[in-house]
Amino acid sequence: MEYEYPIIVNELTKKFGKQNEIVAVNSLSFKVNKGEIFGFIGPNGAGKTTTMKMLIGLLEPTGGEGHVAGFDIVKEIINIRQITGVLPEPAGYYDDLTARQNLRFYASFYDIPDKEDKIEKLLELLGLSDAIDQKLGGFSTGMRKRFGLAQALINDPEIIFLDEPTSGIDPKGAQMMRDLIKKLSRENDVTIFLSSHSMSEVEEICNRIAVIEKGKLLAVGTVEELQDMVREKEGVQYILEISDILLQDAADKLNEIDGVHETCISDDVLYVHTNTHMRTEIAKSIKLMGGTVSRFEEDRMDLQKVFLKLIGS
Amino acid sequence: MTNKNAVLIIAKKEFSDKLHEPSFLVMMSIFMVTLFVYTLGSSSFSNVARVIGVFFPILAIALGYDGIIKEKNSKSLNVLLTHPLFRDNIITGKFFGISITLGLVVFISLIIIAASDFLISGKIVQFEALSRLMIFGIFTYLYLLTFAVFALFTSTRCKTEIGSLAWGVVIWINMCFVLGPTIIMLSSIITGQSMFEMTDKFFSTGALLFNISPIHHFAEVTVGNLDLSYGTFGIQRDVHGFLDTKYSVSYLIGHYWQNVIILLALPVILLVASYISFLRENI
Repeated sequence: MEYEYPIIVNELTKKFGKQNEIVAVNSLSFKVNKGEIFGFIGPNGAGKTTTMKMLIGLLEPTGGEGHVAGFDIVKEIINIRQITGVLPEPAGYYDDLTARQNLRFYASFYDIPDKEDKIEKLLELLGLSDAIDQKLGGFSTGMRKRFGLAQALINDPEIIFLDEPTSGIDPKGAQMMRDLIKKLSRENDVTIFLSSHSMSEVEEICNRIAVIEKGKLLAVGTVEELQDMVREKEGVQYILEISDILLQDAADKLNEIDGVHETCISDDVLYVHTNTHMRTEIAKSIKLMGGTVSRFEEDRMDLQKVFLKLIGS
Repeated sequence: MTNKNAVLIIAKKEFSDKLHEPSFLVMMSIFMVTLFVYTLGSSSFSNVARVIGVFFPILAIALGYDGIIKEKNSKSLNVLLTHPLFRDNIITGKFFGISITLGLVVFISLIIIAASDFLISGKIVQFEALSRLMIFGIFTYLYLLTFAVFALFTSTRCKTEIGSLAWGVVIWINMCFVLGPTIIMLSSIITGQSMFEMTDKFFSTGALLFNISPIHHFAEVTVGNLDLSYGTFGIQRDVHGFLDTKYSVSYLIGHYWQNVIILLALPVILLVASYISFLRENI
């Protein structure tokens, strides 16, 4: 089926409770572009997993609508499952079966031409070739996660949903997973919907990010766009190291400039908080005072900080 | 991939899992030993039917009690449902897997016992005797299937495997031990007569109330008895169930049609209840 956006969510809502008193997802709307890695972040209980469960047909929405690969998430869920792969969290497998037997079982739901070859290649890709005939009960957390990704890829999906794909894995294993996710998106043009608590992970691999809290969408965009959103709201912070003049004098002078919100001195460093970008004005003012600037940088907001600002912590 | 195939895949896996579980071997062994004791010993067939009717339901419950809850608690259901199949495919597949396993236990045991009996006693194999034995097998199967499907139902409702098994045991005790004496007591209260008086009124009231008991229907069709549970009096009727060769099968079908329909309907009703329960649940 031809589709413009792999995932479209429009006013999607999920309520729980006898009288629908618990709103888990509240009128969520967004679109995911073809081939992108779309990050979905939010604090615990924000509604990330509930949203993902609705998109893969494990939960029925209370309101709104959603389409995955052009298929309705309520009426055409089998069509969606045919062309998507999912690594849910938590995920369980058949521990008394080997990795090969588990994958053979999942593969039997699809028309895959050469199943055995496909299973071996997938496990090799995930670095599990040596454990192909080992029972899953003996797998470590990292191996189980990698196996989970293998079962999600068994049908060569066009869209992949990943819920906390690297949680509980050691740094080396996590990096391997991230590299693989990037490779899938880059080389196979697969669209990936990734829910994660790891901000560094989302920042590293996602093209765009949606931030939700209490079931509501707070922002969607690239990391830079999210940073700009926060700056617009919260202002910009500069870090300066100055010689030849007293820091306090510099701080007093800068406080007189329109747009400078606040200054602060700590460990011979001057922090200047402004409403907008004011690099030139600050530099001019220091120069006029006879000061020499040895360090002048904008406090870089990583995704962690952006996220905390957006959710108001 | 059609849904029919998805059901077959689940059924095949369930059947394979059951074959590898110790409970299958235990069930098969107990079933065969019981029938062997009857075949070789002097025990009456009524006693064998009683042992099957009263004690074997717990073995059937052991086949079904973890059907869904095990998948739920191990979180394998989370993964399974991300592949192209509906929830009802899972229940149907589990049902078929359990049914085939139970069928294997009942019919393989009967075939082996029948073959051994003919070999040991040197009897001439008669089609009539064999067909009656198979009919007995079918009713035993349906009766035990009721308990297996009930266990499947509790596995959709309970939070733990122990909880599901406990519900199965509670129902088994009530159906096979408590219900019989309770019906006798109720009949006595309703008619104002003692069970020892054995009046038609007391008897017909008891027979009416016994309709809610699965073991009653099993007892009727297999040995022509009102009840097989312990603690009650088993009233032997004139017709001794489907094994009574004095009557033709067609006559017996006409005679026991209500019992037969109930034995056929009970697993279906419980399967529908399992569907509804499982489909309504949020995973």
